[in-house]
Amino acid sequence: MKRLEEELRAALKREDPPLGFAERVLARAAAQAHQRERTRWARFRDAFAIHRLQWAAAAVVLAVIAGGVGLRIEQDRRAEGEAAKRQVMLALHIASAKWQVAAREINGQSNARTATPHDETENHE
Amino acid sequence: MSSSPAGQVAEVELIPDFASLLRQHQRMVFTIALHMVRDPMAAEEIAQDVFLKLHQELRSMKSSAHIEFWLRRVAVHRAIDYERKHRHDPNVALEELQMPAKEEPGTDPFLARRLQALVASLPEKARAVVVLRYQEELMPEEIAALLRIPVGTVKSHLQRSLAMLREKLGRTLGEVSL
Amino acid sequence: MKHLVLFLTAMLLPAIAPAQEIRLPANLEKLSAKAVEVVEVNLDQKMLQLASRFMDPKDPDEQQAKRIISNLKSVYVRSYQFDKPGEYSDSDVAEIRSQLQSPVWSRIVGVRSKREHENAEIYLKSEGNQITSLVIVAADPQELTFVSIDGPINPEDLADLGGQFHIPEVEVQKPKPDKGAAK
Repeated sequence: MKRLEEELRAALKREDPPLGFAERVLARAAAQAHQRERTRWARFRDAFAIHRLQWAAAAVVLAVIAGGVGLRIEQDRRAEGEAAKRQVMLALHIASAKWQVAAREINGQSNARTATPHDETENHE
Repeated sequence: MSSSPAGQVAEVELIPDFASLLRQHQRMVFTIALHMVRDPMAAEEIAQDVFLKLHQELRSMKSSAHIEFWLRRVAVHRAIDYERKHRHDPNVALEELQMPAKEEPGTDPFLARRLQALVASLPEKARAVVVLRYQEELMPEEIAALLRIPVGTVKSHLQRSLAMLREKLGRTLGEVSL
Repeated sequence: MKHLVLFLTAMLLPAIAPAQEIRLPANLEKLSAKAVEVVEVNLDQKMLQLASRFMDPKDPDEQQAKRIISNLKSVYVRSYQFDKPGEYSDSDVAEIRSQLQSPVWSRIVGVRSKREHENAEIYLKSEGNQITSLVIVAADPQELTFVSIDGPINPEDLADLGGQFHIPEVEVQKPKPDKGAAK
């Protein structure tokens, strides 16, 4: 039994791998690491590509919303401005009309005070 | 949260870099694969895969002992996987043996080749036990832990393998007293 | 509900008073309930500036209006038209008139037509030779109008205002600064 075990130890002793084994392993390990890095980057890039599409879509949606909001604000501002303009024109129209009353009475008074004894007009400086 | 007793400094083992580990263990891994699959080219392929796997897993290794244990275990399993994929006729003729057997003084190269062939003809678990026992000089308990089988099973594999090897060797060589 | 509106109107009036200086009395606002047609214009400086940006450059009326309001601080108008005479009384405008009795105001025009029962009063406030405010109070049996224009406005602007809107111009002499109110 002992003899067989000794023969087995001799027969199964460690042996050197073929020449260049370590270099080949190191080369493959380096390539593998590089590939892993590329894969990781590719995964990130793919994810980014997907996100880029989503971002682009989101940007479009935001632009549309912003455009819509901006348009609405501009429309509101324009409506407010137009309303203010109409009020100004109305106010000036009324002011002019009332000015006209005074003017008519003053001018009429100076021309025909005697012909219209019922009118009493005061003109103050 | 754990703390070390006062005055006791935790020992931290530095793991050697991958190239050092490769050079340190390449003979062990290659030879395990070689004795398991009997084909030097296949053995190199298996050994390369084992080391590439180590390269990926290096960060999870805790110690040099852990690495050595891990390398043996993965080498054996990869070799078994390879064998299952490329199943050979276990009864290999002597002429078919391609194994490089170094001739050393005091050894019988013919006997060594014959023993290698006979070991290669053992069932995969028994073969792994014999390789780990006589190549790696592991104790049955260590083999049991590595292969995750009971120690009794290891011992049983060893006894039956030795008996079978003696019997086949005697049949082949005629009269041998081993 | 109507009482609530009137109450809130009365409460809010003091808020606009500092801007227009002439405080609209609450009883004047009450007239809106009786009136068949009401015009209320409230334009502060911000609104005037906004309006001026929307004046059509091709429309001479609007361009003239833009020039007139360019330096104004505020314009307020209240005009009530009634379907029959007697809906308002002199007491309704008395409070406004009393505010205009202040020495800073000059009544430059006060016309009363017994024939047409139409009264018009124009008050000016000035600083130096610059007219800084204008108030018009016009009343006839079925209409009462109050106009307050605050801000520098030249007599030429007043004349242009009349001419631009196809109204005969009134010869107005500049009021003497700090002249007391005339009755």
